[in-house]
Order: sequence, then structure tokens, then C-alpha cells
Amino acid sequence: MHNYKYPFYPLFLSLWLCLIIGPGLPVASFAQADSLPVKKFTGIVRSGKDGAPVAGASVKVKGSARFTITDEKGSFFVLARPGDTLEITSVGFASITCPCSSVDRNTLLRLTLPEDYQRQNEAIVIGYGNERKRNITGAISSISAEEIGSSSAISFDNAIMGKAAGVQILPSSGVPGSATGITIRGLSTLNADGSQPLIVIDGLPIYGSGQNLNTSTFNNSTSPLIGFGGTNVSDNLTPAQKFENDPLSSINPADIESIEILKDAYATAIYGSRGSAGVILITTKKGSKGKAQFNARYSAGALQPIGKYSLLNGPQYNAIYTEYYKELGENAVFNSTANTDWIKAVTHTAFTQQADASLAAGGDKTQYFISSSYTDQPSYVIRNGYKRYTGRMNISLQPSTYLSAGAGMSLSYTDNTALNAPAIYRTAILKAPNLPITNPDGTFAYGKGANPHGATDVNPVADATLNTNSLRTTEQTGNAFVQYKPVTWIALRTELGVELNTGEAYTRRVKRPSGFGDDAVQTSTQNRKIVINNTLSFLHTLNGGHYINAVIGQSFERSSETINSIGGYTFFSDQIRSIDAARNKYIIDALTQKWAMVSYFGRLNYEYRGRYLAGITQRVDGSSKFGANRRYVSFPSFSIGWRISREKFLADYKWIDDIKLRASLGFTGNNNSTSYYGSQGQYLLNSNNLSYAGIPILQIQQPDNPNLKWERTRSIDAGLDISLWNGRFSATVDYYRRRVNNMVLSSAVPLYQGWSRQPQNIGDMVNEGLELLVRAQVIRKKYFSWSVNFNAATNHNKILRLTANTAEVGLASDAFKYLKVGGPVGQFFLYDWKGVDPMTGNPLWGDGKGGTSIIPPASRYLEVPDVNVFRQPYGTSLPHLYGGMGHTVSYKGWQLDAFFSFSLGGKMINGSRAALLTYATENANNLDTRILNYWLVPGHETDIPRLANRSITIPNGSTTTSIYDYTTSRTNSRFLENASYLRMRTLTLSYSLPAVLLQKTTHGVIRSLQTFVRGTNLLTVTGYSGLDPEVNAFGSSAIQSGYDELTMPQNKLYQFGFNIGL
Amino acid sequence: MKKLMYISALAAWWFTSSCNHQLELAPENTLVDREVFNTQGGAEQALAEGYYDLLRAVMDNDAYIYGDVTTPELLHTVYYDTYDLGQASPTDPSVVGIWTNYFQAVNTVNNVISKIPLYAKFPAATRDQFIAEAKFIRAYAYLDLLKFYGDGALSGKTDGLGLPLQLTPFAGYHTGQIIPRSTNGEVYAQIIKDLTEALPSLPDRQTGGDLSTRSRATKGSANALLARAYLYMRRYENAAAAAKLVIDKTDIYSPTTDLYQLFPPDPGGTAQTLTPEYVFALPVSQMVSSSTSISYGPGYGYYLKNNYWINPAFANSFETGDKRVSQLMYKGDTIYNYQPAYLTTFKFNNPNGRDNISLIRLAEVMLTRAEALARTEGVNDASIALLNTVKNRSVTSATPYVSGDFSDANTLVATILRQRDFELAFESHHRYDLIRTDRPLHTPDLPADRKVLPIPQSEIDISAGVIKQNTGY
Repeated sequence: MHNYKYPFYPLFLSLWLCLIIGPGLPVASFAQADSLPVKKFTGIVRSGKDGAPVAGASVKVKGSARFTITDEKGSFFVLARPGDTLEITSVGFASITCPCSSVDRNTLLRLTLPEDYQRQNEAIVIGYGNERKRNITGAISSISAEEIGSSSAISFDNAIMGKAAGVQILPSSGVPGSATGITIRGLSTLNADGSQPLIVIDGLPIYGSGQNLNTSTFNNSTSPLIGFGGTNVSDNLTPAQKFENDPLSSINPADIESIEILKDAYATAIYGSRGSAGVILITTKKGSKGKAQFNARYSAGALQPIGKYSLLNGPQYNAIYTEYYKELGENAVFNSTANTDWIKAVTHTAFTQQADASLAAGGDKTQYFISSSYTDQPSYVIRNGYKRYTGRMNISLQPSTYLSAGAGMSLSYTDNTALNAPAIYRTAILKAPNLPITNPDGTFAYGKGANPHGATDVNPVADATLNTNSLRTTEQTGNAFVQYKPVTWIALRTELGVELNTGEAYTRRVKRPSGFGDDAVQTSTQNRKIVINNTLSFLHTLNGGHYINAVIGQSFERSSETINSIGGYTFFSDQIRSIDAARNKYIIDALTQKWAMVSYFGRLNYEYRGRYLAGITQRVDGSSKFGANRRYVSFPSFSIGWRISREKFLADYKWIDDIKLRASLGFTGNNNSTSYYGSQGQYLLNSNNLSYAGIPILQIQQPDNPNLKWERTRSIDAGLDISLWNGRFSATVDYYRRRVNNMVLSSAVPLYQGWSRQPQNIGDMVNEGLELLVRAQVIRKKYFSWSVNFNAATNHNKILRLTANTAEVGLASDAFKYLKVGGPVGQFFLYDWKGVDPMTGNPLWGDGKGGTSIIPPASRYLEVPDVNVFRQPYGTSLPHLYGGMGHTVSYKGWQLDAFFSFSLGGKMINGSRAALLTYATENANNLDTRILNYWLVPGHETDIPRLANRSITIPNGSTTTSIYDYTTSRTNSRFLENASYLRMRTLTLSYSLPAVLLQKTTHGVIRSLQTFVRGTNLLTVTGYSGLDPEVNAFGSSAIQSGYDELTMPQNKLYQFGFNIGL
Repeated sequence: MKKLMYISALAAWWFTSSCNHQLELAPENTLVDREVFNTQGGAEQALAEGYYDLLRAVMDNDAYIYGDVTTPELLHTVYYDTYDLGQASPTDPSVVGIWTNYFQAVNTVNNVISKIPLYAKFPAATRDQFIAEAKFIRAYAYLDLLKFYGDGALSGKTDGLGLPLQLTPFAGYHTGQIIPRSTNGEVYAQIIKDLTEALPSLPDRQTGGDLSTRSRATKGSANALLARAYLYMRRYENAAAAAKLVIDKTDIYSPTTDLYQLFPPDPGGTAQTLTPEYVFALPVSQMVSSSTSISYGPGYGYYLKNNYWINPAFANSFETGDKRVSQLMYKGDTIYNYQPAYLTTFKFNNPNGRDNISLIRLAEVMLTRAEALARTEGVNDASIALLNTVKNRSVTSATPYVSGDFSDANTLVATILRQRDFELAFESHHRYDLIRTDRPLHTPDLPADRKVLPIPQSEIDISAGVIKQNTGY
């Protein structure tokens, strides 16, 4: 498919074009005529990619000053002698030459420009400026609009999954609009949110991913919708009722012209204190000179969950639970006769459609781009939808040679009514299958029916049907710039950007027969940001081959984040939605937090004789988040490069386009690891409004922490860029080592100091890895081509220093992770499950000394001071090797795109399997059919223990309370699985009508027309026994990843659509 | 040239268009140090947290109960065996919790002591008073900590290991920046120093009225605490002198005749006043919050009798007609009565543990002076008079003692101690009185080095052994 083809504008090239082209349509300009007679040659220039006419291509008669420019139909005429050679060049295409001798003057020349695979002169965006690709000495991954367009993901972060080496994208679940974790070159800090990169759209740093700003909690007051009430299951993860939104999903991927991912310190140090986790620069599409181009796209499709659990049916459920309670000695007979497939009842094949349209046009002084889109991609859970509407307008102005200006505005409105989908999905899986959906009278059946044990207040179908929930977000961004160029090589630029995000989350549960429910929570958030950038840039080539591209600048940024959250319960009618009408009301949150940043930065890129490159950047950030004594922090970086291909000894190797060696060293920071307002002591009135002898009690909320230093990342990178055979083969190899010093984590302090924990600089870690990117045109024939791109990255993470007491480092409390010097960050730290003893049917556990025991180690807390001695580290959830691979095969108008991503070595706790093997609770939830293989008789070899076993501890006489089921604890190695996978993300077959045909039949009205069918997530190869190895119960946090807790799997999506260009 | 000037002018404007003050942002939902300690109100509220932290330290983690449940006064379930048998582990939640809570109070008042001089903009006299109150709280916390953790602190072992003397507020922790344990003698010296420094700036009466006078530091409570510290240090002359300063303030402190006024029945949990007998008490009954209750204190356990109750032998050892038995010991509530046959104390009679908690009563000060005088001057009338005051309030029929009743100082001391046991029973004194007078605890043959709690293991781990464990552990 070809959407908009906006060539990257190299600064010098565009200048060059402006100077020569001048205004106007077909213009033939003549220098003085030669003495020999010239003839008139006419021709048409077409694109080698899709056959569309190429307007504005330069046709030059070699050896003379004669040239012309093609018109909008691609046609030209030029005067030349028969022996002359024509040279045709156009931005974005490789130039061709064509001898005139072979053609008769009356013949129409049909010239086809091949696509330019050697884009060494293209400029790419590098943060506060552009640089020629050949001069880049940092590690930057570029992703083009086409690559983004080949995915149907509603959010660009999901669209670029597997497309950039060293960039790991981790979707959290199949809920539409749910968060995605982006990790560039491994973890950047120990903070849950701190590994998210900075995201900059057209120069405006936006509010990015992260749990802090994007989570809507709807903890209702009366009872949890889901949970493990009644009896205890040790160390369960009960997913909180919250929804983490993906803020990046408010951007329409079709508006994106290119994405640059800055990975090493030379690239990111210009973003200083926010550069440590990488930077993603997004450039939106702009208008262009020439004929107005209208593009529209529509697709429709259907989606389903990627897989389905194999659960017990009614009779099987009855049998298992009756047997279990019989073994316990309790006469509890399960004999309800209904047989409900709850999953089927709450899921469906959802219909999805996407439509977008854009118009790009412009004259010499004004260009514009406008677009809008509509996306409807509901969840596969019934009555849980997702709709998005976006609009964007970009205008560029060049009123004079000295002055240029531009403005961009975007508006996006998202209506996500799928917040409850995860809870409904989970409840449906766990609901007893021997119970009906409705009572005979037609009302919803909630209770446990005739079952002696069971959840008393659950009906997922009723929840989906009766309860309401929504998250409505609007995102508005606007930016404008003015640029003044007093001389051609100096540009002064002022940029102003504004971002306004609002979110409105609302949940309402109707009253259940038990009296639970009947409540509502409403949360509104407002994030406002202003950014001002002032830069002074120089671009100059001096005599003697010195090229200088430099910028100095200053930036100011201010953000204000407000949250207001209220709740209410006891409504006089289920129809009432306003919390104002609730009998009981309470305020959950009402807070505004602010931060501001003042920065100064500079960069100098230098090239000598097109061969030797060097660069230096420096940024000084002053942040309100830093304490007054540590307010300004400086982040320098340095780089060097050597274009070996330009050396004489390689000059004879014509098949070498470009070989470049580069290396960089630099420092960046991470300001996600700290709170607002620095580390000053803060006081708050006692939360219970207590007073002592009439004096209100003012409590220390957070003590002064002046010693806290800022995390600092020192990165080195060495890379090699190769381009061969006129762009048919290109490769990039990078080695990197990122050392993060003084990582901040809340960690223990001596208790006699009056506090138990405090954010401290507790350690250092290193990420080390290799990245490889290869692009090859394996076959490049006139009608047939096959191209492959492949990328892979390794990352090895290691903790170098740790001053905290490892056993009690904070991570254990939320994701049971573990830190130890010499090991990677965030290891699983688990009890050693040794399987089931075939003779007794009891689980066996490693006792930490090489032997086995039938006593669950976690239960031995009375015997040993610390039961953690029985636990071991088991590796991390982050993969050792990951990447992607794409194939594009085209034959005439047909094109087949297949894109795969893979991940090797990551581990995952299959909490879904644990939940579906948990029967020792009062809830008596439904189980996986694997339970049917439970141990029966001595000698029975199975991995499912006998139902009543030694690791389910039951106090005397009680079958319902204080039961501890150690067999299904997430802290044992039983549920740790390898989550490696290879997934076919997209498979697209498209057909484009020949441009010539369109030209003829529609008289030029339709420029291009393409239809396509696409499948998303059609195939996954994995050893993981859950539904989807790519989920994260903890949302976007990479450090907490590796938990599947009946998390909604991703979609399988089938689509049909067309693109049309006018 | 002109162009260059324009450029420079433009550049200059651009680069100065922002300034540093934009970065001075303050949180809107919390206050910072400067704002708190600027004003008298803010500083007083910060000081209130010191009292509240002390209250939490005393009430939580069985800290208060520990002084009685390990003595012959009470019987208990197996739950308290580890404490009774001196077998509490260094990771025991109460061992860690008591240490943590008391040091939290110390840190809070350290903050008051150091921040008021930095920021305060209110009258110097008030400033000094708040600092003095903070020092009183610090002294109280350290004396309690010595009772729990000081190795031999109550047995006159001044060179035994006491506590880390943390006298500055928390300002971030650097690995390895550890204060080792000072000796008991050094900790006592710090307590004396704090109280002595506090005394001149403390008022006789707090301006907030009687409740404030009896629940915040005053000259009286500081002297009373000083008397207790000297008594523990066996500096009896000083103890007697300090106690006298309290007893002489008869316009402020006087014995309450009616025991039911001293320990008022409070089934509804309403605010109860503190009678003039209280020198320093925690006004728990006054601290009812609209949204929630404060945690259940020791009174809850006494009320329920599900974990500890009065040892019948102890009850029987009182003289007949002693009101401290007839009025203050009862069989408890009929609704939640787990052990209907057993006795509990009326000193804690609210079902939700909302009784005020006595920390220093005039009776204690009197008995301290009586004992100290007896130990220094032998049999003397002043001691006997004080002893009679305390005893005859409850045993109204008893013949007052006269000097002829006592053959020597030891008999007098023994009698005073006996009355002290009766009078201050269940008020977290008995264990420490037994240890300092070398009498057996509930577990009679407990080795001396097990009569203290172990230091929390995490302190030893995090300090890499710089903070040493008690010798018995």
C-alpha cells in the first residue's frame, strides 16, 4: 500500500530544489543553444514502486545546463541532441540516466525511477533539529509511515512492535486502549514506571505511558467484584480494580510520518534528565507543494480472543468438588444440573471498523495537511466498546526567504467502555459452570445456587449487562513555531507547544440482591503542559571540507496534573447515575501537582571531508523535582564516526555504498524515579483528624532526604552501518553498555533513625547488549520482488552494587521480585516445587539443602526465622533475545506482507493456571480440565496432586476457614513457565490497481486504489501453556512484568479494507 | 553588521525568557518544614505528633502490657509465653514494633528541637517551651527504651549496652552511617540532661487548661520523670529531691480520694477528665475522631480477658477491704466475658479500650520519694507519711504506719515496695520494679541477661554488627 509518500527533506536538498525549481508547473528553461541542432524529446516519469506518475522530477541533459521539471502527470519535454544523456533525479528515488540516442524524437520516453534505497542523504529528526543520515553518529532506529501502516493496531506503540532493534514493546492485555510497556535497551531503573521512554511529538514532550498518570482506579466501597474471599490462598495476586490507559492510543497512527527511536546516549543526552530510558520522536505528516493529495482508508473486520481456556463443564465440576469435600470428610454434594459456558456467554465476535482520510496540499508559500479518523474496535467481551475520533491539522508557511512558520493542532477523543472487561472476563472464567445465568423468573442468578460452597455474589453476565463503566479521554495538542533565517546558514527558531489531556472515568454498579454493589466512582483527571523551545542553529559547509551542524537552545516546560475523584453508594434507584444523588458520598482524591523544568542545551556535529565525524552535546536541566541544592544537573555526550567507504582503499569497490563506524559515550538521567517537589520534608494533618489535648496532629508525611542523589546513566555505544549494492543490502550492528548508577529505591534504614524505609541510592546496574538490523532486497525484478528485514537484540542485565538488604527489597511486596548483586534485576524468587510424589499424591518441595520434603516451605515460618531461605532466584520476565522479521513479496500489483516478532528467554508466572487449579477456597471456582488428571492411586504419575493433600493445610475441624493452599501460590516454581514465542503479528495481502489503468479509466480522478485483507495475531508458536505469552497483569511496568492472572489475551483480528488516493 | 546585532538581540531575548523562580514549586496538599515551623500553631501541631507518637509507642505492640504480663500480677495464654520466658526472637513483631515506634517518637521530637530554631517566628518563650516539651518526650521515650532494651539498665549496670543516641532529626540515610549503642550510663545521662535543660522553660500549668497540664509536659511531669529516672539509676537522693518538687505543688497535684473518679467507669467511651492526681497521662478517651478510632490500646485486652487476666494469687495478697481489690478488680463484662471466673482491672473498663492511660500518677511520685528517702535516710517520718497517704486512701480501715512498725530501713523499703506493687498494678511498672529491686519475675529463674528484649535483628544486619545484640541473645 502506498499512503502518502512524503520524502524526508534534507535541508540542503530542499534548498537546492527551491533554488532551481522556482515556481510553476512544466517549465523548460534553456541555456544558450548549442551549435548542433537539438530535438524535442517527450516522456513520462513513473515511480518504480507503484507506477504512479512522479511530479517534480528533474530531467537534466547531461553535460549541458538544459533541464526541465516533470508536471503533475509525470510528463516532460526537453530539447536535446540524439547523442545526449538524460539524467532524472527526484527526492526519494535513485537517479537514473538514459541515452537519448536510442529513442526517436517522436517516441514517448517511459522512464521508471527506482526507489532510493540509499538514503544516506536523507535528513532524520534527532531532537531540536535534523541531521543527514550519513552523519548520524548515535544509535537511532527509524520507522517509516509504511511500516506503521502495515499494522492494524489502534495505537502506534503496538504497531511498531518488533520493528526496531532493542526496543521491546510489551502489551499488557487484550483490553482495547490498555497500557503498553516500552523498554529500550533493558530496564533503566528500579522504579515501576521509570523504564518508559520520553515521547516527543513534533518537538512537544507529551505525557507518556506509566501507571502513575494513566491509571483509573475504581475501587468501589462495599465489596470487591473479584477476589478470594472466605478462605485464604496464600500469596495470591488479586488484580486490583484499576485500568491503566495507554495515552499513546490517542494518536492516530495514520498521521505519523516517521518515528525515530533514540537509543544511545549521544542521541538521548540532548533530552538530559529524561533521556535515560530512551526517547521516541514522532513526526507527523505535513503538507507538500504540488497537487493536492487526498487519501482515504477504510477497513472492517472481526475480532476474537486469541485463545480460550479449557474449563470443566457442569457435570465435571460437580464431580471434582464433590470428591474434594468427600476427601476432606465433609458431606458436601455438588449436584446442580445446569451446564453454562460462562465464557461463551460473555464473549462474542466483535465487529470493528476503521476509517481515516487526509488531505495534503500546498502552494509555494503555504502547505497544509488535514486529517481525521474514526476507529471502532470493541473488546470481545460483550457490551465493552472502544471508539476513537481524531483530527489533525498541520500548516507550514514560508512568507519570505527569511521567515517561515508553522502550526499543528490535533484533537482526539476516546470513548473506552471496556474498563470492566477484565473483571467480567475473569469472573466468567471462575464462575461455577453448574449454575444458570438467570433464575426461572428471568432475573439474574447471582448466588451459589444449590452448591454447598461457592461465590455468593457473582454473575458476570449481569455485570456486563447492568453495570456501566467508561473512560472518556480527550487529548489536545497544539504547537506553533516561527523561524527566522537572517542568512542561509543560521536559523533562529521559537516553538511553543501546549498539551491538554482530560480523562473522565466513571463506574457504576447496580444493587445486587445481596445488597452489594449500588455504588459509583467518578474520577476526572486533567494534565496540562506548556513547552517553549528557543533554538539557534547553524548549518554550514566551510572551505576545506568542514561541515558543521550545530544548535544551541533553551527550553522551558511546565506541567500541572490534577485529579479529582469522588465516590458514592446507596442510590435510590439503579437508574440514577449522578453521584450527587447517592445517599453516601465521599471524596477519594482532590489534588493538583506541578513540576517545571528549565533547560539549556547545545549540540555540535562536525564532518571533515565527508569521512570523519565527531559530535558533542550537552544539556543542563533544572527541575522543580530536584531539591534546591541539586537543582541543576548536566548531561554531556560525545561521539565519533568514520565513513570507511569514503577512504581511498575502498574506492574501487563500487558495490559498497556506505560503511560507517561510530562510537558514543554519554550521560543521561531519569527523573521518573523521584516524587514531585524533590525530597523536602512534608507534613500533613493526621488522616483521622485526631488531635492531642486539643491540638491537631500534624504528621510528617515524608522526611527531608537531602542526601538523595539523582540516578545517572552512563552509556557507551559502538555501531557499524553498512549499505551495499546500491541499497539492496543494509545492516546496522550496535553494541551497547548502559551503566545506571545510584538507582533509587525505597529501602530500609536503621529503625532507630525513626523511619523504616526511605528512597535511597541503593545500587548500580548494567545493561549490555547487541543489536542487529538487516534489510535486504533478495529479489528485485521488474514485476517481482522479495524483500526481507530482520532485527534482533540481546540484553543482559546485571546488578553491580546493592547496599540494601536483599531479602527485603521493596519489589517483593508487589510482584515477588528479587534483587541480588550479580544477578539481573527483578528475578522471580520462588519456592522449589518438585512435582507430585507418585506414591502418596502429595506435592514435594525442595528443602533448600538438596532434599525434598512434603511440608510446604512457606508454612515453616515457626521453625525458621526467615522462610525465604527456601526460595531461589529463577530468572526474569525480560527476554534475552527479541526482535522481529518482515517479508514483503510483490508481483505486479499484488503484495504480500508478513511480519513476525519473537522473544526468547523471558519467564512468566502462569497465574491463570494457578487460579484454575485453585479449588480449596470457599468460592469453589471453575477449574481447568487439567485438574481431571489429579492423583488417584499410588504409582499414578501426574503433575496434579491428590485433591486433599499435605500442602493444603486445613485447621482441625474446619473445611471452610483458614485453609491455606500452598500448591497454587504464585510464589512457587510450579507455575513459572518459559514465555518465549514467535508470533505472526500481521499477514496482509493487497492488490493495487495499475496507475496507468486508473489514469485511463478515471481520467486522473483516482490516483491510486488498493484493496487488502489482513490478519493480525493469526499464529503463535510458544511453549507457554496459557493463552497469550504477551500479557502483563501489572500494566505497563516492565520491571513488574511476567504475570498472567487470567489477564485478557490479545485479539485475533481479520480485516478487509481499501485505500484510495485522489 | 546590523544583521548580527539583530541576531544578538534576538538571541539574548530568547535565552533570558525564563528564569529560575519558575522552579520553586511547593506542594499544595502538604506543608514543608519552613511553613510548619514558621508559626506557633504549626510548630505546636508538629509537637502534638510527638505526643501522639509517644502514645502509639506506649499503646501498640503490647509495650504497656509487657510491664505486667511478665510478672506474677497476671496470668496469660501461651501467646505471651515467649515474652514471659525471655525467649522473644530478634525478629518478633513486638520486639521490632516497640523499638520502631519509640524511635519514631524520638525522631519526631528531634525534628521539633532542631527546626524551631531554624524557622520559628514566634515569641522566644513559646519556642523554648515547645523545645522543652520535645525534650521531655525524648527523655520519656529513652527511659522506656532503656527498660525494654538496655542490657542491665535496671540492675545498675551503667556500662551495659544501652541505645543508639539519635539526637538529630532524620536527614537521609547513608549506608554505614550508624550510631552504635551508647552505654546505659550515657543514655541515663542524656535523659537527665534533656529533663534538666527542659525544666526552666516548662510551665507549671499548660495554657490549654487542666487537660493540657496533665497530658503535656510541665515542670511537674519533668520532675516526676526525673525522679523515676534517678530511682532506676539508684541515685536515691536525687530521686527524693525531684519527687519533692512535684509533691510540693499541692495546688496542682493532689491525691484523688475516690478511686472511681481516678478510674471513671466509661462504658460509652466518652471523654473523661484527668483528676489532679495525674501528673502525665495519655488522654485516649478524649481522642475520638469522626472518621475512625485510634487503635485498641492495652485496655481492650484487659476488657476481653481473652489473653491475660489477674492472677488470683496476686488479688488474694491484698489486705482485706482494700478498695483496689473491691472497687478496681471485677469479673468484667457479661457480654464479651471469655473467662467469667477470672478477674480483671477496672483501670481499663471501656469495651473499646478508650480509657485514658496513666503514665505518671502522684501516687508513684510519692512512693518514689518514700522509697528513696528510706534508702538514704533509713526509717523516717516523711517516708511513712507518704506511704500512709497512698495506702489509706484504698485501705481506709487500716491503722496508719508509725516509725515503730519498722525495725530497719529494709523493712520500710519492703513495705513501700509492696504498696507500690498494689498501687501501680497494671500500670506498666511492676516488671521494672521487680528487676531493679532484684525480685523474681513471673518466670522465677530467668537469667538476668534475659530480662531485656533482644535488639531487632534488622538493626544488627543493616549496621553490619556495629549495633550489637544484647549479651543474653
